[in-house]
Amino acid sequence: MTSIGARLPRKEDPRILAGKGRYVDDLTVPHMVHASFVRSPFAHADITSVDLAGARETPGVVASYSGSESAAGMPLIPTAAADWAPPRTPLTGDRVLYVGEPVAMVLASDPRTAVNGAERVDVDYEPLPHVLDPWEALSPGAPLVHPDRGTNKIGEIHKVIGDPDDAFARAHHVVSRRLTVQRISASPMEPRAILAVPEPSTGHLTVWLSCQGPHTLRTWLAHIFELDESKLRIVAPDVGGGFGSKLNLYSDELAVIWAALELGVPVKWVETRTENFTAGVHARDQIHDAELALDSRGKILALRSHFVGDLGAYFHFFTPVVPDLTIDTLTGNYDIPSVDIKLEKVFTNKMSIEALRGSGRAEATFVQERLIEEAARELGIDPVEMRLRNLVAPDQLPYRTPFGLTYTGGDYPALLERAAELVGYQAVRTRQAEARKVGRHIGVGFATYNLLCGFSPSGHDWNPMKFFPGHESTLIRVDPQGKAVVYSGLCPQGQGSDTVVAQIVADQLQIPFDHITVTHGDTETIPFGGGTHGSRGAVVGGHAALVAAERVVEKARQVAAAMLEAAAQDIAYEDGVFTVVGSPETAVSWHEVAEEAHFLKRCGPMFEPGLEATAFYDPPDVNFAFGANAAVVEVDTETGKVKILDFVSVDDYGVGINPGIVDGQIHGGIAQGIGQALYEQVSHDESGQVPSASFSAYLLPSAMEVPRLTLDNMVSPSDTPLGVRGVGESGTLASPPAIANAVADALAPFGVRIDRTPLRPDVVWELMHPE
Amino acid sequence: MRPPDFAFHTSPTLEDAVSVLASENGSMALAGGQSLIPMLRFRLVRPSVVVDIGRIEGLDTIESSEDILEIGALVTTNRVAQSSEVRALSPLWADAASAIADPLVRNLGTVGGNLAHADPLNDLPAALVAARGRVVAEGANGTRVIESDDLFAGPFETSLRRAELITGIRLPRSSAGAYEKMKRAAADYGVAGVAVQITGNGSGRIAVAGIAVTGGEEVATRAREAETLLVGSDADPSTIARAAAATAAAARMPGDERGSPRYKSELVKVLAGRAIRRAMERGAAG
Ligand SMILES: Cc1cc2nc3c(=O)[nH]c(=O)nc-3n(C[C@H](O)[C@H](O)[C@H](O)COP(=O)(O)OP(=O)(O)OC[C@H]3O[C@@H](n4cnc5c(N)ncnc54)[C@H](O)[C@@H]3O)c2cc1C
Repeated sequence: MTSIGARLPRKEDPRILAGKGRYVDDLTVPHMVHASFVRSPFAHADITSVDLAGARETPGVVASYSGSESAAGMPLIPTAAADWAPPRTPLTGDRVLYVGEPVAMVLASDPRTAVNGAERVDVDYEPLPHVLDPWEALSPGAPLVHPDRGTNKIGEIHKVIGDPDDAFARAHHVVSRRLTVQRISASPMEPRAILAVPEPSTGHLTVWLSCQGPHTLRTWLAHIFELDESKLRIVAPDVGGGFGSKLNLYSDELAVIWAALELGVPVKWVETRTENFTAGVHARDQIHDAELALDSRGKILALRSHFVGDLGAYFHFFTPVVPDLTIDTLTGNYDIPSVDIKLEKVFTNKMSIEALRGSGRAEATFVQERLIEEAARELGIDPVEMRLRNLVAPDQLPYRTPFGLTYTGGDYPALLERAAELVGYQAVRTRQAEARKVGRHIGVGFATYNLLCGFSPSGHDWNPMKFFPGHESTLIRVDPQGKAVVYSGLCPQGQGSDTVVAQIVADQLQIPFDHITVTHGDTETIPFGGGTHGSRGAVVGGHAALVAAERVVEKARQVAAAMLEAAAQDIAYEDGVFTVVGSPETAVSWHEVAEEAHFLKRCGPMFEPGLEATAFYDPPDVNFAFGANAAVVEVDTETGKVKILDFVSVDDYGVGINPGIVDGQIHGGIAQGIGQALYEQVSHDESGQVPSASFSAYLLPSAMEVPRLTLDNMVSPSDTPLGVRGVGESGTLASPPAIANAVADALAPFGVRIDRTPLRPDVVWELMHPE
Repeated sequence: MRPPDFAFHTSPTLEDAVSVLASENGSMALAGGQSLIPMLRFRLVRPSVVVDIGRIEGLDTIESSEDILEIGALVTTNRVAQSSEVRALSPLWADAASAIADPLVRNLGTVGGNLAHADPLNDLPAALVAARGRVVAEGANGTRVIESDDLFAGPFETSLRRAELITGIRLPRSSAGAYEKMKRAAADYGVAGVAVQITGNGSGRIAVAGIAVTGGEEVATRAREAETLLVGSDADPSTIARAAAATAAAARMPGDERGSPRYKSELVKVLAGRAIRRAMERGAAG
């Protein structure tokens, strides 16, 4: 009986697809009031007065608070990833630093009335000069986001490894580009949502939160409000997407909790889509001045990128380290001996940058793959051939990157060759030539990726975060009928990890998949864990489930040994039956063992009762997954519209526990990558407003924009018991550059440079028709 | 959704709707809700009473006579898009309705609402103007017929009087029509659209041409000069090119998230050329 590797239907689906999911907004508790926020319409301004009188007069309004009145009594919000964070309270009292910053909050009997009240809050602002462009922010005399610091520069990391200066000096050819990865939004289908339920009589507080990991947030919450962690409970019910945006405790969420504690009544807040676009975190937003030094055969001698990360005005949990991930992943799967990478991190008057599916690594992949493509074109080398000359070859493994990462498995050239084969590379070239004759412009583009993931071993460099566990937990409890409930520390937002975990446990316990219930997302019942992010579900969470299951089987073996009057080491367990080795007729079933474990009717007290085990799994190392994408596009040169004609992804995610779920993850990742390549952009106008703050302006690819995807995979098991590699983020890395490269290829006859995304029709057209 | 306070009234009949709309200051009609509900959600409108006209009978028919195609105000845009009668008698309208957003929106949005809302990005206004259609409206003072050129007064403004409802439209039948639209994504409003309808003089020359643009600063910018260029011609490539350029010249295109005025103008030219050619092909075939 093996369930690992089976394309089983997801346990989650029947409930969620039938509309029976239970999200924070579906919850109702007695005496609950609803919050609405008043937010800054200015990118930078002093708050000169806040008048709450109108709100307080509004029928149905229960309470209202302004930062100017209440900030003094509110806690400061820390960051997880640095020693210092710009000081900030849940509601801002004196000065706003970005459009969308919460300055006042109104609580009312229902959400609509809360908005009625919020509309009547009068805030006077004195606008200040603001800065939106990161280069401008770095230049002398720029308005300062945090004047106390005297500069908008947050910090700088400069890594020079090998001898890049020499490589550039003796290079046969240098290709240089300024490449921009735009600001995007996670856009989860379910926006942020919170319900804080205080119990003043006992001092307990329960927070229902749409989040990606309740335990860490519980620790933070206790820390921020100086509360007793044992009296805090955080529950993530069904969560409709997070993508990194729900790893945080946001200022407005903290204001909701603060108000619930102040008033002693439950407070609920569900953000609007507009708020999600302005006050929910953004992502990416890097500008790279990047160049490759090449020899005459196209071998890369060195990579240089001096880049700026626009982090916005404040720090959320990971804000200051998100672009750091780009540095060490900039060489990807390529064998590049020398690097010179400098990152400057900058404050601007915008919402914060945070992790978003593929964070840091997607930016790196775009830069490296766009540069290599351009290098191939400039040197007149076929882009596939160019990559094959530079990819780390299997005989170079284990391969240590200049940054000290060690790659151990996989065949990167084979993945690319397979992608080229599946996309029909030569046939596409023929088709392209034919099409050009009749004025149609088809292009093919490739990109490879290396996904550093499975964050992160505790104490490892990749985990400098305070209060952020690298481990994952699982508790497995078997009942007298032999059925199991698995309490997983993962906190899925749609990934399907309940199914994956059940498959792992089913194989160990050797019981039917249907006899396993998986639960997650509640600090009251689940052992302390890290949650779901960074492609760690199977890699870290899966192993916690595996180890816990092994421990349960070990315990069951002891029970069986007592029942069969044999030594535990002589007990075999196969097909759900315990036997004494050598005498297969002496057997007890799993069910009998489970019953005996609880009631001790046959053996008496020969073992500790109960059949359960907990495991905390701290991964020995980070994990890598890799692959190659190929895209074929057609560009309507009259309108600038790009159509994806074909898309191929060949991935190595090691052992696939559930191929359907893995495919789904890759599909979703590629859909997001298509969004980044062609549609999505958080835009700021000159005043710092966010005109993209609705789905009519912020284009999210729908089923209509995502073409049929051709997926294939190769299996090189990782050096872990399950052999799995991360997969949740892989689709997001190579898809944007593959598409951008395809567009560049299609437009090669026009000499157009593709240096940024999204390649919306007007953008493509403007590139072709410079003023 | 967190709209402002409003009362809700469901009208069983046209008379009831007109009388409630007339008696309640600040009342608004609700048809498919695909524009009104987003406006309420953003609190861009604050009606005292929302009057649901969606249950009124008799306004959801598609009928044709010898030279007129009549479509009721409550016919959904998806029905227009799917109707074989519309496809045959006004391919321009079939095209334009099919180009609206996605099936979710089209299944609820109505012809009357699409026109009455007068959004410069709505597709049906240009289709109405190019087809030289007429709108039939019912108000407190009875029925009147409004010429397409007289309906749109500016963005989100029409010449409909207070408490006057569109009950249907009348379109001259023509097989020589087409609507070309460029949208960035399936459910997005268009960057621009061009509606063309042509009537031949029976001897290979154009007798009447209607051209109107979606997405300009005005609602359905009529391209009169382009129309004049086409009339009397046999739509040879150079005339089409000149008419397309004249169409672009007629429409003032605003710069926004969807593109610069320069880009949009060029797009209008491209779409106009495509729409004229397609209308001519269809005319020749039909
Ligand atoms: C995501 C999305 C994308 C869209 N994209 C497009 C697009 O690409 N192209 C396009 O054309 N449209 C688009 N729309 C708008 C859509 O077509 C609407 O359906 C249409 O604008 C309004 O029709 P309705 O029946 O929904 O009217 P409602 O929303 O109910 O009403 C709109 C306005 O018209 C008034 N009204 C309604 N019916 C009448 C009547 N019979 N007489 C007088 N006044 C009336 C109402 O009082 C209100 O002021 C989109 C809408 C959405 C939500």
